[in-house]
Amino acid sequence: MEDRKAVSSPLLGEQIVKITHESGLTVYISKKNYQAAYAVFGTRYGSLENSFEVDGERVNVPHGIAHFLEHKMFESEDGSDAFEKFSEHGADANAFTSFDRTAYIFSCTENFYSSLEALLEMVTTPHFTEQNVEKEKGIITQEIKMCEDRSTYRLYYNLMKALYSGYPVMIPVAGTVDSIQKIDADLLYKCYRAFYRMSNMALCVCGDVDEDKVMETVDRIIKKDKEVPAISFYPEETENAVTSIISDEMDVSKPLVAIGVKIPSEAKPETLEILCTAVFGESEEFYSELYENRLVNQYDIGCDAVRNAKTMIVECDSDDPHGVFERFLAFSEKIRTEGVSLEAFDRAKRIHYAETLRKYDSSVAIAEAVFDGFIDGSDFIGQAERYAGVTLEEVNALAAEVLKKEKVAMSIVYPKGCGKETENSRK
Amino acid sequence: MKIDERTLKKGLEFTVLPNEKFKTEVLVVNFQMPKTEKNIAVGNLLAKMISRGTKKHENTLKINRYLAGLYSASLNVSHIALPASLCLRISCSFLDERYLPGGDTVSVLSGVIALIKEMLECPLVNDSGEWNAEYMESEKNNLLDELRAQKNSKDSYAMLRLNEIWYEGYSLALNPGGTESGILAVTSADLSEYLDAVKKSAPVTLVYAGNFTAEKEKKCLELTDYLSNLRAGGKATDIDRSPEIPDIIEFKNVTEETDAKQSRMLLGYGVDKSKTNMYARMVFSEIFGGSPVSRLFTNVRERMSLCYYCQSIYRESIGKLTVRSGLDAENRDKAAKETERQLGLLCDSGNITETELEAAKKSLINNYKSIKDGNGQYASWYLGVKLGGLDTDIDGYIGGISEVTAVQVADVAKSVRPEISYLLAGAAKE
Repeated sequence: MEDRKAVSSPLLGEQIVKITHESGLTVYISKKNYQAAYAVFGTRYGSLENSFEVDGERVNVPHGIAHFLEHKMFESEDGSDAFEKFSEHGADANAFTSFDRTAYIFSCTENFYSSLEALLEMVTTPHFTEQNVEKEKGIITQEIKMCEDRSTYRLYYNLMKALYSGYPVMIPVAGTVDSIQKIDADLLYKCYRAFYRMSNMALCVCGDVDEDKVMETVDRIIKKDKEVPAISFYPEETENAVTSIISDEMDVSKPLVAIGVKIPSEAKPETLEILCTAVFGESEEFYSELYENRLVNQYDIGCDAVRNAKTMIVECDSDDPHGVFERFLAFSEKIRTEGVSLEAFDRAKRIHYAETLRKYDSSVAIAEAVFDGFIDGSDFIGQAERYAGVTLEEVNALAAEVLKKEKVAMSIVYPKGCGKETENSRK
Repeated sequence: MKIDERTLKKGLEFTVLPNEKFKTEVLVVNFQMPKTEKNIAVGNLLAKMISRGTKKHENTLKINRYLAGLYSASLNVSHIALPASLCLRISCSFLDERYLPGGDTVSVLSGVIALIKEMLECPLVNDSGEWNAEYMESEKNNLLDELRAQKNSKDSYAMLRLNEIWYEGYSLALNPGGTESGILAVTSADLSEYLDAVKKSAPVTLVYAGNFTAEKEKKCLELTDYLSNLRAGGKATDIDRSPEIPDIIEFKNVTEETDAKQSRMLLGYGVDKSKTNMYARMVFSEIFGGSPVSRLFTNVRERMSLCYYCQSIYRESIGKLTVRSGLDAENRDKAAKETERQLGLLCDSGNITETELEAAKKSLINNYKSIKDGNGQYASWYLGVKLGGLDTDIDGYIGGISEVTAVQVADVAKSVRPEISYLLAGAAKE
């Protein structure tokens, strides 16, 4: 028997229907009268799962296999490509893999239910052969090289290496050119059986759709699945950053900087976001001082929440990375001891209220935010209320706990020839 | 609801894209200026200077706090290079006041309009008419940094170099980031002169996308009145919207090296617009390399495993088609030959299947129908076609695309001529 209930946000006047299908699959439906409808069908399986136990066997797999598997799901047993089916219905399909998820998506303005059927069939009928796996290696090699040419990619993964000792967020999602050579059809089937279990998966739909018709399609294609997903194993993680500074060289015009703060996994995401905005946001003194003193031009902030790895990140360009780092540490210490001002806290809450509301303006953003909530165990519909419920005391308590020198690391990408620093060095 | 286009006076247009579905609204004020090398540098610096501070909000901190107080309204001043002209564009995105939390009566739209006026009317200029020298120097440095940073992204840098070589000697070749000497040469007087021209003679297009109530109409018309008064006595300059493009470009084959692991291959083609149908040109590009079921994707990527992406991009405003791919340098000839082979096959309408023709049309129609799914994207699309001199009626595009035949697509393929092959060759040392 399926369990169906409507969950709502009184603050925003929004509602989403959540259904637990008898197969174990969780289905979310957000009804919106937008032109395009959008669907995400995905699993809590990403590049973090490199070591797991399935059928009593401990399995270690090459880096990048979740992403590789995502590529191969588009091929059918009859040799056709799933893209062909979507295009016949006029739908645009795609997929993505990250640390903690793999998702298959489509958007369309007509033929929604036939496209949904194609999506569900594609993800539930894997077809891997040695030949089609080998063929994919050339394509993914080029994807990896494309990513490796991006300075932001190097900057980010180096920052993760500086912050995390074991949790595999420092390993690129797509793996490396070498690691993907070890992938074969048997390993792909093993990973599929381990993690593409219905209790580990969600379907999130947003658009002008009929709830019953969506569930009729699900009933027709998704079978009962009593299997549970495999248990993953992760290396032990340290409380503080591994090293304070890590640097590299690339063909860039000036140094690029990413400063990260390692956050305890139990920190509430909304409290963390408000802290980050209230301290390092563009409406606050830290950024203003850097900009007015010509220390930065490009500047961005964000919070990553990948299961047990939560990170607050400030990214910028600067001719003086160490000057930025010193100011970051000094400003963090000031906030840690004195706290966030009420004005900055109020500004941050307004900003996040508006950002949450903006997500409801797009079927893509709604479906992906709902899927995010499934992955991290929260629920998107309650996000505005959770932001509203955050108190200044909670923000200051988190600041006191995390804005410590030993939890901070900086990654620098210097222009070639400007001298790579040894790890942990200080100018 | 239909587009409401109003010409308030010559060179002052106001368009409303009504849409009640969304919580975020958009207001764009676009000033169109002639495209010259000097104007690129001056306009780029002006965009930075007027968003750096005003007499009321003297620095970025004060501007950012003001906008945060308007529920995180965004106001972005950019200077955009179109094929034939330049645009100083003020783009604002903000919450529809219906969705402010209970009891808050802040007028977001009025607040945004007030800041737009301040930026135009009260920039940081002293009594002697000099712009803040310290800010000028720092913003010039920022522009130089951004110009030098173009090489950081190999994909966009390759496209930039392609255009510089392909259209050498024409305004299409001008780097939208300007030149180092051009940026350094900008004076305070240049900024004042450019801002004066923007206010007094540049054709203005205002676009409002959102829930357009009578109250909002009143506020927007106050802004258009203000803009109209700025140009009292000044005549709107006629801006040429058609770029100058040589009819026949002699084929160029260029290879340059860069420090990257992957090479970027770009193939440039001219399309004969005089002998082909516009909608057929769009469908042709979609079949050729516009989707995951296109000829280039299924052959160069899927069958030959040479790359992760191989796609075609068609620009109707200039009648040029670009094929782009990232691959190993030694595979350039294989990929280029396969691209030529697929182009050759499309010259025969008998090789175009009904399935691929219909799929391409559906994909394009899907894209056009989705344009209205967001006030920001709708306003951006509208300005793009309007300023490019193209039709703004979405239904017209959908109707035209649905009638395209395989014969028309083959006619486009036959009119396509290669004009340039460019390789940004990766030569990274591990």
